[in-house]
Amino acid sequence: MNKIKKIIQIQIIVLAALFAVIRTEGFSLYNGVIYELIGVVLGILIATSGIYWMKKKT
Amino acid sequence: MVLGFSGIIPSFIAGLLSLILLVAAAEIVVKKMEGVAKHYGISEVVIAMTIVSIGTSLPELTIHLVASTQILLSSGASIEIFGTGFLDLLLGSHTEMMGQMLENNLITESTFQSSQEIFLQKSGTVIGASIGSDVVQETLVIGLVIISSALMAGKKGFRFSKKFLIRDYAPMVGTTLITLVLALNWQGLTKIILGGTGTVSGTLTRLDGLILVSSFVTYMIYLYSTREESLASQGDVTKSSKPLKDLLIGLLAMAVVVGSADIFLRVVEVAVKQTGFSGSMIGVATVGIVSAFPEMITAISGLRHGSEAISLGTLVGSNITNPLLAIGSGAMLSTYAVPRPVIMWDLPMEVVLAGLPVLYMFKRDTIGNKLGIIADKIGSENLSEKLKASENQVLSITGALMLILLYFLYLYVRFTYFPQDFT
Repeated sequence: MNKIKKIIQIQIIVLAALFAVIRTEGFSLYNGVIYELIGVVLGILIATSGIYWMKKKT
Repeated sequence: MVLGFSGIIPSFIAGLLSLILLVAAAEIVVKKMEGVAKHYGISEVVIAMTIVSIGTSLPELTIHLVASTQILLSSGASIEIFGTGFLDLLLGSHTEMMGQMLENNLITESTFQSSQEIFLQKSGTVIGASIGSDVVQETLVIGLVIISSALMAGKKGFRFSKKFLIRDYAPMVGTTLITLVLALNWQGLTKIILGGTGTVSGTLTRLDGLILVSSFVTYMIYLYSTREESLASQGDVTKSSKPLKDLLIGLLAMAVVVGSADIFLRVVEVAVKQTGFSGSMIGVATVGIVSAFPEMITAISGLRHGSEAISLGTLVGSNITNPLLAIGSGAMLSTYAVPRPVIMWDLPMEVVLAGLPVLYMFKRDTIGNKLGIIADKIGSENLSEKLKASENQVLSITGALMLILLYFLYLYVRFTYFPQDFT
């Protein structure tokens, strides 16, 4: 459980970093690769959090 | 023209027949392959994790794989696509890769245009079909199963086990949410939020597809490593007495499944051109409903044998397989353009339609108590008592009827306000 918690924390930090990059660099950065990564990290974050929640509840 | 037929009515009949054939042949494939696998001593766990879990979603999965192959072949330079850079392959859409090939003179402008048209139309159809099928199952079929099982048992509702709600029903909401998050055009959304103009319809890249398929594999491993009763329920697979014959029938049926999917997609192409309906709308309204049949039949047969849990397990399980495995594998093969109505209406509505019952069943007791106090103040003691007696984890017949009603509301809004895919 602690391992999953750490993975979730890392994902949140990565997500915050991606948003920070967008804020400073603007829209056209890397032709939207950063935005694609935001979706990817969010998707994995939902999946990991879901597994954490299921394990915690059962 | 499809199979020598032209005109909308013959095409419609050909499309309907191909869908029925697709679903029926998929059933045969699953049955025969289960028996053959059992004959050759393949473990129950492997059978359960592969053939059974994919089984009821085989029509959707095949349609995705056939459509993705058609998208790839549409450029006439499908091998060259895999020769581009690794990052481009992983993060680029079909359109972007075709654009690169056009720049490098590997394809002509007209090939680029026709490939782009096929990409948009096929993506819309197959994604609409998967989401449509999920919505039908989450509302109409689950509603009907709850009502039938409650009536059969002479009760006023259906009690879900807490374990089922957590391990099966809630992940169904999660998988839809993951698909939405991956499909959304975050760049467009950010621009809109900041007051600019942009579009929310995004692309499911190969990386997105990989995430969806990996999530499916992880979920399956989690499910079967922690749930003994699920393995026990797979113990009734009948061993095949003539494995070679069954294998041959299974393979022939699989060929029929692939052939029917191909015919269906050609019919949709004709229908889109002749009727002006969008690919995703045809997917939602046709494949969505017909491909929900196997789950409906399994659910009804489960009810007849008195096992409501298996009935609902099949329905919910299939709704996890559809977005993760079917959409995921299609996206891994060719990438998908996700139509605007899917992002703005279908996927959010699917999250709500799947999420509402879970929230309601977890909080029914609390909601009932609060509404009971209001009913008390109005002076309706009978209603107040009924509301206060609400128990968690129970979905009443009224709740099931509401789900069915929500399905028709979903369809009405979809047809009225979201007629076009990419405009």
